[in-house]
Amino acid sequence: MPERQFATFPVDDQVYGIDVLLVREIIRHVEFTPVEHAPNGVLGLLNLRGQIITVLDLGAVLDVPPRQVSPESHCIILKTKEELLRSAVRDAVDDETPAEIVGIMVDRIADVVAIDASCIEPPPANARGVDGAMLEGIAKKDDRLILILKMREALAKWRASETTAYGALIER
Amino acid sequence: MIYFEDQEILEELVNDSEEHLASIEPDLLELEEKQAAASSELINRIFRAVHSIKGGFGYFGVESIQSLAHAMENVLSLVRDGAAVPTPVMVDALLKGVDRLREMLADVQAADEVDASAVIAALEPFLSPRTEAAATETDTGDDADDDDDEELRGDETMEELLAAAQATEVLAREAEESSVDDADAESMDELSAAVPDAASDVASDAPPATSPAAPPAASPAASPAAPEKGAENHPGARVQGAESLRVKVDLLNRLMNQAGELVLARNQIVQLLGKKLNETLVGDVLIKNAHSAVERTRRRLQRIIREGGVATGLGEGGRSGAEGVLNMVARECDHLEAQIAQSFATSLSEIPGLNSAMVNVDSVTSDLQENIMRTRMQPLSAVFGRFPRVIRELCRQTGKEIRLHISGEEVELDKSIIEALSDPLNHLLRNSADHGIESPERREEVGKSRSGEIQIDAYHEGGNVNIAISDDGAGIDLAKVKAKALERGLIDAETAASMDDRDVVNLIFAPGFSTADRVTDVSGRGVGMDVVRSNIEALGGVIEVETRSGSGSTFTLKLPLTLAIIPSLLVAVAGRRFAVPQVSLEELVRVRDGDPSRRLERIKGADVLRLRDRLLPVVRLADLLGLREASSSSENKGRDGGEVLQVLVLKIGAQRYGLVVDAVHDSEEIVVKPLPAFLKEAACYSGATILGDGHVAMILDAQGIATFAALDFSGIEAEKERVAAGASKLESSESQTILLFRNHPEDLLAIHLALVSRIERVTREQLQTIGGKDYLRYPDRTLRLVHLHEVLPLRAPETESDELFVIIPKLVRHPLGIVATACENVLDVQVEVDRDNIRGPGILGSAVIDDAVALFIDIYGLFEVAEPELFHDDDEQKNSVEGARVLIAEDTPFFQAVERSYLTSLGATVRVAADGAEAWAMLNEPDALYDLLLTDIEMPRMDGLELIRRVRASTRYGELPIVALTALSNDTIREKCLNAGVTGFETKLDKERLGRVLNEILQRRRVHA
Repeated sequence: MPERQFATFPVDDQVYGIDVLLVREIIRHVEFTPVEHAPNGVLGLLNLRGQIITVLDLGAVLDVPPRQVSPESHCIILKTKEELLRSAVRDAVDDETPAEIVGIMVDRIADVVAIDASCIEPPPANARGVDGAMLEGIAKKDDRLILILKMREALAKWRASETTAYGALIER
Repeated sequence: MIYFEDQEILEELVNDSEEHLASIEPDLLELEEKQAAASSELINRIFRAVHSIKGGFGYFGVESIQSLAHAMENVLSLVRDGAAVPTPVMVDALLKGVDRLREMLADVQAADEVDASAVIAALEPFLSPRTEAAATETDTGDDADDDDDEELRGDETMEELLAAAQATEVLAREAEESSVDDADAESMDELSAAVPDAASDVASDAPPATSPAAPPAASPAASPAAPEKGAENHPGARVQGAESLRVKVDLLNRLMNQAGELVLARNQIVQLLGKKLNETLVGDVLIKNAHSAVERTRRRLQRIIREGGVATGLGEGGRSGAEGVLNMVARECDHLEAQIAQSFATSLSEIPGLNSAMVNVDSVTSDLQENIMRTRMQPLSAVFGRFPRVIRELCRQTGKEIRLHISGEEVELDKSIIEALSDPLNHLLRNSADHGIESPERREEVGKSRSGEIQIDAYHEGGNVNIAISDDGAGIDLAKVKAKALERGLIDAETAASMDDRDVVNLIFAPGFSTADRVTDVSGRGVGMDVVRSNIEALGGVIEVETRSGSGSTFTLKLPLTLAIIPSLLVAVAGRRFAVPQVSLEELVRVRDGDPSRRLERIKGADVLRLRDRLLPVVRLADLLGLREASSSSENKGRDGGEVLQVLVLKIGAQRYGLVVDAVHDSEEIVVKPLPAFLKEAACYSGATILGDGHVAMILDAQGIATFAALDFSGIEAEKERVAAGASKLESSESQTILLFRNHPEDLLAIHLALVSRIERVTREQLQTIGGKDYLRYPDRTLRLVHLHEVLPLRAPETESDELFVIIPKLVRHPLGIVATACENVLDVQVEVDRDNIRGPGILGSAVIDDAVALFIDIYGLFEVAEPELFHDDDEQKNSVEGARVLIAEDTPFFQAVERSYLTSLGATVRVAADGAEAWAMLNEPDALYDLLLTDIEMPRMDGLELIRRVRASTRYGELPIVALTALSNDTIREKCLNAGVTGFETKLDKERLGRVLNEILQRRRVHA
């Protein structure tokens, strides 16, 4: 079985991982511009070498309490649909994959760990704190459990809920 | 499903064919118009274009296109050979073919699914003898004997053409195979070049009797179908062909984005460099400080060594030991100094070269950006080209007669704008034709020519492109518009009563409005004018309508050249910066406590800004965005401690509203980045941009903010009327907008704002002294500057401040910039200029403004003093104006003073009347003698029009030259004045023009006398 690599980051008392093939880069000292009237979970816009990137709060995406931005905060910049289509993980792309660049703010970033694909077990119906549907699986590494995120599903779910909420606001 | 081997060649072919279709259409219309008189060149051009479409798609095996083109070609070949005369019916059938081909080209893969059989069937009668009569409706039919022969020849020609087309295919295939690498362009060129050759071969092989009038083989027409062929005859054409190249739009878009990013990077570097420069300057000071500190320490040490050594009674050995230590310390100091110096030396030495390099980068970047932008520019002919056809169809459907005139099709706009313009322009054109132009019968009734005129003009104005669509139809019936708007519930009766014409005509842009009595399939059901407006505004443009009852309407679109980079104003709220596009910015207003001409009030619970005579709804950006804490920041305190609010007056169509911000920063050209999808719902923004310091700023959307804040314009308009009605006559009389500025801090100076073109903030470095005179340098020219204290008896500024303002006047032939050290305020006031206390060349007089005495500058006088040689030709004018007795009727004291001063300076004897009635009385004084009457229009008691009528009606003054002066040039007033019998109609304050006009008038009069 092939080995896969995951960028890991803690959220409260859990460790999550995201496949590095989905990640464009990870930056810190993020100076983003907050945007009023943006949907809940959009922290603001960031200039990354001339490109404008939407910065999302991981808390909102995972449907857990919002994160506090601190000097330790990092932003995980995800690959766009186009970039993924050109990469080895083109299967991971569907209509829900954002065509624009999105960055996700995490409290801090931990190691990149290599995990044998066979060691990833299917997720329980409801993992503690987060909807099981957002998880690809759970991996055990050095006695730690790493919750492997399905970023696409998580984003799609957040987006759907926000659009509805925002739509309702507009209706009103 | 068709399988295409070479997608790229196919794309080229589709592009080429679309171009052919675009050229065929107007050619067909010309053919229809000229019928039998059409030139063989024209016919050949159409034929070849159709032929190359047929050949190209035959090669790719797209049968549907090939067979339709083939059918069209057959008909055309008959026309070419003189065997058939083009009739409107035939052209109609051909145009339908063009439409169908266009449809097929839109999705070539599915071309075969488009059913062209009906179109082909419609073409067939022109070929077959059975329906010859129908096909040649207008034909006399006296060549009926030849019909069979013609038919036969037609068939022959068809067959030969088919063979030729096949030959073309082989040729094309060979061409492609021989140069696989650049198969795309080259083979296609050969392909299209080969087509007319083959075609003309066929034509010349055909029986000679067919067409002596059509020498296709030698046709000099450089049609788009045959670039190579044309090039043989016109060497110039070849060069042109070789110089252009097709580039993928996608690539251009990417280049455009990258150029935008380069601009941002450059801005960042410039900013960093500025910082570095500061650091270097600081470093320089540090080195000097360090050096003097070291020097001081060394001297002190030496003194200690000399004196201290003695005082402490050290022996020779001890002293030399201490000296050694102290010398060491001194050496350390030297070393330290050297280190500091060195650490800054690198950056110091870098700066000069770096600077010039940066200037280079700067200009190259700008050029690059501009040129890339230019690659995206397309001429408006891309949109206008279809219009003759549109009008033709419309005329047929409605039975109207319309002549369409187009100018400015060469004006270029960004591709994305061109594309987005097609629908709105089409709608406006159809609207003018359907609702504007009357039926021929109706036109005759009202004494117009049977056929109406629609004129489309495109032209540059400022940084924009304007497109005007005018018709000479009935104009918009304002009463009907109002009634319809009432009926539809768009306005209530109260509002309707208070609306002026301009407001009424703008109702046509309201959603769900229609003025058409009937629903037609020509301009739709009247849904659309609102869509037209929102489409234009989405492009960053503006649409305006002007209508003249009985004589037509004009719709004017003002469009930006490009969408990607726009001038904007940066503003801040709660420390956050936002960009406001200049196109939606009308004016910038500072509202200070206690200023009666502009203040914030609350009406029906909403904030409004009273600005001059208008009431505008107001939005506080901080409240709107929930950034509340900022609203009462201490920055907003004026000099006198009162609160100063910065209000941007934003425009949406004819509506205006105020947006309160904390601070106004600089203007900046910003690169517009589209809103990320996650923010599409946020109505207040139209995009985002990256500022020079690398931060992202949101671009505010004037329309979105008004919608989000649910601004109510109608209520306020009604209130305005109420207020205006209640206001006393005095308040509604004319006031002037005055710019207050200073040169010496204690001299308050004033100038009429209508005379100011713009004010520029400059630094002393931007000034250059040549021959003892100061100039302001622009990239492409210089502007001579006037320091007031050098020309007028005024004090010089006390301190040499680095920041200066240059006031640039308008309405003068040789503008000079007036240097000011401070620009105080712009005020709306009623002033009475006192000419007795202070006067002299260049000074109009003094006036009390806000309890302070301000000196009014006479720009013309000033410039004459400063640069007499530029104005020497004014002397000629004096010949006629000198000694002339002029009566001025003017109610505004300010203008009285200005006009009196102008005319006196020209040598005239002047008397002033405060209104029309007084002027009339003065004219009727028994010994009154005047050479000229200069009159204002808006005056109490008796207005200018009445005065003019009376003067003209009198026997005594029937011939007296009268010049009407108005502050605003307005066609209606102008017309009224001319009808009343004025000799001239001029704008107030334009002294030079007035001088010339008076001179002319008086000269003419002297000749008569």
